[in-house]
Amino acid sequence: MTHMAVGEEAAYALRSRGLTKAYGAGDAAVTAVDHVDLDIPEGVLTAVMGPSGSGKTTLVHLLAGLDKPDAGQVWVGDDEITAMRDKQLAKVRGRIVGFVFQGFNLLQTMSARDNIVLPLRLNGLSQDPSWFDALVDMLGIGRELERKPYEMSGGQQQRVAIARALITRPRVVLADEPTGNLDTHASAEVLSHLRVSCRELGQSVVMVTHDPTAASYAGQVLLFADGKVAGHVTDPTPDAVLAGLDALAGVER
Amino acid sequence: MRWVPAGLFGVAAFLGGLAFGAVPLESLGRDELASMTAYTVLLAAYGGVLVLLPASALAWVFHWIGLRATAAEWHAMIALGADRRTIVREASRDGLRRAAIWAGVGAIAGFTLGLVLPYYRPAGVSLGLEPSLYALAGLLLTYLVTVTAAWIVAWLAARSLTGARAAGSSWDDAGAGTPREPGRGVGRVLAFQFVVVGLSGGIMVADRLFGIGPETVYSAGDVWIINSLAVTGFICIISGLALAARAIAALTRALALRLARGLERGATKGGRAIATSAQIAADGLAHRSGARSLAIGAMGAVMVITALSSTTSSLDDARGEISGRLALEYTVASTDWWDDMTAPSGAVNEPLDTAVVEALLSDPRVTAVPYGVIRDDSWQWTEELPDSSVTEHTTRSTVLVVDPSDLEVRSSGGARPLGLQDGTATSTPAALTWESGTFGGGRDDLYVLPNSNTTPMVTRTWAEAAYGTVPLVGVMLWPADSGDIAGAPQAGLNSGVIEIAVTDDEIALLDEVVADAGAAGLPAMSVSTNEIYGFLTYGSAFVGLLTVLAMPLAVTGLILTVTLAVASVKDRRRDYATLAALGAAPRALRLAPALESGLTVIAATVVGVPLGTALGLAVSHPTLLAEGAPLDPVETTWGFIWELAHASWALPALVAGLALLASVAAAAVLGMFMSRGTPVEELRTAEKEGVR
Repeated sequence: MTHMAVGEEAAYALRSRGLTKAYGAGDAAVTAVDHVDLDIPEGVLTAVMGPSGSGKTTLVHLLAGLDKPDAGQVWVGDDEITAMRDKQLAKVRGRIVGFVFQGFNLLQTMSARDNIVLPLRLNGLSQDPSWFDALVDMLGIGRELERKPYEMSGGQQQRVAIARALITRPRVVLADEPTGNLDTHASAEVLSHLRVSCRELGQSVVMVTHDPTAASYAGQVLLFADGKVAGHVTDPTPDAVLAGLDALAGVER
Repeated sequence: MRWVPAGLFGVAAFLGGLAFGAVPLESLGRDELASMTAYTVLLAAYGGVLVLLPASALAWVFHWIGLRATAAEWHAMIALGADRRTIVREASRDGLRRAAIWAGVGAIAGFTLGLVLPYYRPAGVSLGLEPSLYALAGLLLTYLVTVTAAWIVAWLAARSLTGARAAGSSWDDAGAGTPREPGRGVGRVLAFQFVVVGLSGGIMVADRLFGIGPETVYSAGDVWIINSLAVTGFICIISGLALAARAIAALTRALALRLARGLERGATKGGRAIATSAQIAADGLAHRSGARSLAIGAMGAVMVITALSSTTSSLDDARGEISGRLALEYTVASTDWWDDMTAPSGAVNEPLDTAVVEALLSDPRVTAVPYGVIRDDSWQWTEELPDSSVTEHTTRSTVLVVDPSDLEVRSSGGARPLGLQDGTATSTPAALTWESGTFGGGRDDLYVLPNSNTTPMVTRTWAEAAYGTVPLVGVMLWPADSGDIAGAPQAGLNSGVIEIAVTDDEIALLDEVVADAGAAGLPAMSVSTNEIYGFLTYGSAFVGLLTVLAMPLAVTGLILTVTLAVASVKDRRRDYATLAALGAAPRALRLAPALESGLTVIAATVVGVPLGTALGLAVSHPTLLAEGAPLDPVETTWGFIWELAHASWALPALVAGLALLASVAAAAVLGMFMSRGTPVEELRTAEKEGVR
């Protein structure tokens, strides 16, 4: 069991205790997340890194309330989402947590603009035009607003997916490879923005990434292996992250 | 899902078996055999096209839906070096194997039902438990053709799913991460269809209005023109149907979308869950995926076909009743014109005593219609009997001359619903031999209504313009209290067959009335109790098929609608999961699939029923589409109004109601199951099912 606390005094945006999720049954069973205890402080950009198949995506799905754990608990702020009924959980997904899927999952019938404001429409929230414009400017998708997802490149779709996750100003943002399809310049802009959001708006961001440079924007890096937190890097730099990953690879070998 | 295509071919084989089982040819006489053989050939030909083609098209689509999850696997195998032909061969064998079972079961079940159930047996044909060799050969042919079609369809589906184009695209028109410019190819096809329909339709309309084809064939050139017109007509119908299918799908989608948007706006005040559901449903309807387009088009098409079938069937019944009421059962006349083969042709010029006519018309015990008679020249013909002996016959055509309004005492509207007007003649199929005389083919100004199926009659206005004065020579009589003819129209394949007979009591009454009118010594004629004549009144084999297959079509359409509604909802599994992840309320997500299906069925009904009814009115109209028939605006419009008043809405209403209930229930259950899973589980299921 791994328990990581970042500062005794910190308030936590996300917490988990004994979080477990397995797939398959019998000999074919694979434990993707294995009794994970986590405390993600508010206002911190956290990166989750680890080898493919280590359970990173499953972890962020569980933390966002998009999947049900086999065991364990998850809190968003003070609310235990693993004990919530579907209706309450829907409210958490719509208003408190924002999620960026690895495959974007944009609705193909809708324009980029409609995709971005969709969470507002679904949750009966009013649109803040200045915040919408700020997001569009930051992500550089002003020209794409009236285009359908299938008319956009992968990178453009990813920016729209990020804007959609941020439009409700969620307290927690979870993102699965949010810069995977972006060029270096765009990645840097997005990551800088996420870091600023954390620092100035008190937003908490958890992102899965394979890119040590992206991870270096984070306030802390969790190293994940075999469904468990295998280590962490505080105040990460690309070299420190690589060193952590190398160490992780050494342990695995 | 993989059994659905085989099931469709099973249904097709069932219908084929039913058609051949219903015609035990060896139990019929030689003449009947000839006519029934022709009918069977027609039924098989039309049936083959009308049943097998749509079944094949649908089966192909269901193969697509069923195999799309496997398609990703196939592409991976091909990428790793597997032989595409082997994959296609195995998939088509699988389709063949399933279809062989279902087509066999369907064909035998249909054939047995056709043999046993009186519903499907032509009038006068006794229980046919001993099928003829013709019928057995037909059964075998049905099976072989159906299974071959199934194999071809499975092969085509597997081939298209393993093709290079399929590898790069998704089932959705718009695949994620595959930017492309949609609509260009579709636009070109659509433009081509418009041109084809416009050209061929224009030629057919010109032929209808101006008769550009030759009346009689004199040369190879005439044959060429007639054949060209037939081919043009076929092209017009096929391309028109393809265009109509597109139009129906587009109209249904647009209306359903409008309804959903309207509901979304209207429900905003009432409840956010409903508004959100309507919003999700509207997004779904705007989502042009293959399954959804097919579902929407199919629902519209089902309603069109149901309304068309119901309209033709009900109008056929209504006209059959009028035909029966106007058929001559008893008459008294100044001369026995019905037996006289020696009198000169033209108008019979032996007027009936006016006092007799007046007396009969004013007698409350009878319904009376006075008439004149015109006669054709007589001609001889020979009949070859089964024992190879030959019998000589002498026949001449006679036609009654009536004032159309006089017939209204017997039937509301008289014979107008049958198409009787100046320049047309009602007719029984037997009287079609006029073609060899002067009334039909010999006169350009007379159109014989081939399906009016009653005593041959023309209007006095036309007859006197053509033949000069035509005096009243007789009166048709029916007992006043005879609400209907003795033999009621029958159900099933025999719904158009009318048995006409007057009872001995009725004949006695009519004899008494004639005697009281002072005409006891005049020739009289009645149709005896044992004499039955009646004919299939269907306007064409197409209408007949629609009538006979009304219920099977409705049931098949219903199953199709529900299946596609479910497929359509499944096709949005990824969207629903995404919406759940973005915070859509579970109640809204549960309600949305039912709403989407329900709105589609409602839109399909609103679009399909008027279209199908309009088509039914047009094909049932006695003169509108008949080449050479008069196109009088007043009579044509009157015919439409009469048809509209007599078209039945029961079947479309029933099918729409059941389709609404069944598809909404199926979608609601599916929606409930889908909302039970977490967004991640649903995304994973969508991935497994090949939904992009």
